[in-house]
Amino acid sequence: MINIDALNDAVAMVFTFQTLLWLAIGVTIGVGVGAMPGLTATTGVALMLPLTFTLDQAAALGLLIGLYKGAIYGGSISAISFATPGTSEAAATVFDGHKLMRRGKGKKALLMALYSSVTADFLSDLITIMIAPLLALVALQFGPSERFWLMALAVCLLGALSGSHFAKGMLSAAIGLFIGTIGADPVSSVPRNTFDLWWLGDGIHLIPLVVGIFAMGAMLEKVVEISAAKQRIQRLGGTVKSLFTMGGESLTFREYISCWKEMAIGLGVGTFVGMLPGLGSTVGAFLSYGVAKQVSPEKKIGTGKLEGVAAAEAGNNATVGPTLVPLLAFGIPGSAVAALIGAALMLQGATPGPRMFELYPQIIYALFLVLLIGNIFNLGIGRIFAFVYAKLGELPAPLLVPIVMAMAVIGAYSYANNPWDVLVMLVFGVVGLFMRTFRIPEAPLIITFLLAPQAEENLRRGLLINEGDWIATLLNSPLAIGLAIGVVVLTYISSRIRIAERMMEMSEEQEKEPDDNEPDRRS
Amino acid sequence: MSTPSERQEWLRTNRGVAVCLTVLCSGLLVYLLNQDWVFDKQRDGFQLGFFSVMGAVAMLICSLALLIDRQKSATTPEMADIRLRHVANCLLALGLMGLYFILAWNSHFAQDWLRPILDLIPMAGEFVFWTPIFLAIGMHLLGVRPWRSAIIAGVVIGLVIFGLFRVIGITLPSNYLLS
Repeated sequence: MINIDALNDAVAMVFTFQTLLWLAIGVTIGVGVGAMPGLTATTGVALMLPLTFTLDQAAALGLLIGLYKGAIYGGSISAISFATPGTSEAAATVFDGHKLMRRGKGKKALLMALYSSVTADFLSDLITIMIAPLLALVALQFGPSERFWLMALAVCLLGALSGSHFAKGMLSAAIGLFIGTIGADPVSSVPRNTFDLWWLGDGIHLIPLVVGIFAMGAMLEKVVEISAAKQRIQRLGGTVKSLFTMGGESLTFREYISCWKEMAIGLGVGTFVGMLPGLGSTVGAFLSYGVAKQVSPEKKIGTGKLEGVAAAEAGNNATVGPTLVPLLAFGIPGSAVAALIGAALMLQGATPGPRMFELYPQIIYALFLVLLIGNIFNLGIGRIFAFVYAKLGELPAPLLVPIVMAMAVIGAYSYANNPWDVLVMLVFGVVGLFMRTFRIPEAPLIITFLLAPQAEENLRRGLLINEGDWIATLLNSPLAIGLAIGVVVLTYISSRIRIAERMMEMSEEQEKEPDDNEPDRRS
Repeated sequence: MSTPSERQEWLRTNRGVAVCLTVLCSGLLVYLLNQDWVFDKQRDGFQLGFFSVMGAVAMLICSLALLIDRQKSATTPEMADIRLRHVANCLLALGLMGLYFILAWNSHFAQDWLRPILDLIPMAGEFVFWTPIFLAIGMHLLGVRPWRSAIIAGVVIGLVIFGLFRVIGITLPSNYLLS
C-alpha cells in the first residue's frame, strides 16, 4: 500500500530548488567523471560522499544517484570517441560505437548510447520500485539467524561473482570483515582490535576507507601508469571535431525504435544482473551485448551497428536502479556504489534495510523519485553536453591526478575534522593500489566492512534469545538451515566452476573477435 | 638454483604474492591469539575476538587457496609491469599529500614535537596558499610542462575548490581570505 502522507512528504523533499540543483550537479559531474578515462562511478561517488553530510536527505540522494547514473552513461562518450572507455562498464560499447565513429557516424552512436541508456535505466527503475517493497515485506519476516545467514550468503555471492578469481574475491571480503571489527564492538561498545592505538578506538570510519580505496588507490595506479609511460590514449582530434559540427548525421526516431529488441534484452539482462550482489554493470553490459549478438546474428552486431551500442548501453544502465534492491529490501548492498549510497543514508540517520520502509517511508519515496527524475536530467544534460564531454576524454592524467588527490584529502578530513582520518585514507590508498595491482576486487571489502557489525549484532541477538546455544541460534528455522546450506553449496560451486572467471573469459573472447571492417587504430 | 631475476618474476605470480600474504596473515593471527581481549567473554557469552579471528583465519585460508589453485602460476599484467621506482613514486605522492595536509590545515596529529615546527611556518594553515603550490608541484612531477602552465592550473583549481567548498558549507582553513 502506498503511504500517501509519506509520498507527499517525499514530493515536498524532492521538488525543491536545492534538491533539483544537486541532482543536476550530480548528473553533470557524473557524465564528466564517466567520460574521463581513469575515473569511475565508484571513484566519483566516493569523492562526493563526504560532501553529503552537509546536505539534506533528498539533496544527498540527488547528488549521488545523479552522479551514478551520469557516470554509467558518460563512459560511453570516450568509448565511442576514442575507443578508450571512460569506465569499464562502457568497454562493450567500444566494439560498435567506435566503428561507427570511424565511419563518421559518431553523433548517431553517441545519441543512441544516450537514448538507450536512459530508456533502459528508466524502465529498470520502475521495476525496482515495484520489486523492492515486495522483497522488503518478505525480509521483515526474517529473524536474527536468517538475517545472519543472508548476509553470509551475500558475502559468498560477492566473493564468487566479483572479479575473476574466487579466492581473491573472498580475500577481499575477509579483509573487510577484519577491518570491520576494529574499534568498539557493536553490542557492548568495548574497544577491541585497535593495535593499542588510541585513535582506532572509534574504529575505521567509512569515508576515509572508501576515499582511500577507491579514489586514492585509483590515483596511485595512475601515478604508476604515468611513471611507466603507459598512457596511450587514442587521440582522434579530427574525428572528434566532426562531432561539434551541426551538420553531423543525427539519430532518427526510426533508428531508435528499430533497436527496441536490443534495448529490451539490455533491460532484462541488466535488471537481473543488477539485483545480484557482486556482478555489476560491466557484466550487465557484456552479457546483454553477447545475448543480443546471439539472438540476432543477421544484424551483424560487432561490425559497427547501432544495435550493438543500444544493447551494451541498455545493459549497463539497466543495472543502476536494481543494484539498490538488495540494499533497500535486505540492507545488503549489491555493489560498491550501492554500499556508498547506503553509507550516505546512514550519514543522514536512516539505516537502509526492510525496516526503512516502515520507519522512513518518505526517504524511500524520495529515493524512488530521484531515481526517476535523474533519468530526465541525464537525458537533458547528456543531450546538450555529450559533445563537449567528449573533449574531457583528452584531459591529461597529470592534470587530473593531483586534483583528485587533493579532493581525497579534503573529503577524508572534512567529514569529522579528524586528522587521523587523513592518515587512514592514505594507508588505504596503498591497500587500494595493491588490490588493483593484484586484481583483488574492492567491492567485497567495502560491503563486508559495512555488513560485519550488522552480522555480529544479529548473531549476538540470536545468542541472547537462545541463551548462548549456538546450534539453536544458527539453525533455528528451515529457512536458516536452507540459507546455511546455500552458503556451503555456493562456496563449493563457486570454487569449482569459477563463474566470474568464465564471464570474464566470455567478454575477453568478444573483444578478441576479428573484424574485417576494422582498420588499424591510429595512436 | 634460480637466478635473482627468476626469483623476482616468481614473486610477482599469484603464488609469490600468496606466500607474502600467508606470512602476513599468519603473523596477524598469532598476534591476535596472544591478545587477552580476544578471549574476553561478554555478558551475552560472546567472545570479543570471535569475528576478528574469523576475519584473520578467512584471510589466511584465502591466501593458502591462492597458493594452490589453478591460477597459482599466473601473473596479473599490472603486477608484471610494476617496478620498485613506481612504488617509490607512489610513496612520494602519498608523502606529499601528507605534508600538504599538515601545512594547509596546520594539523599536528597531536605530536608535540611538530607544533613548534609548524609555528615557525608563517603560512601554515592557509589552504589557498598551499593548495596551488602542491597542485603545481604534483602536476609538474607528473609531466605538465612548462612550469607556468602547472602554476596557473594550480592557482585556478585551488581557488575553485576553495570557493566550491565554501558554497557547500565546508569551511577550508584560510585566515587571510576569511578575515
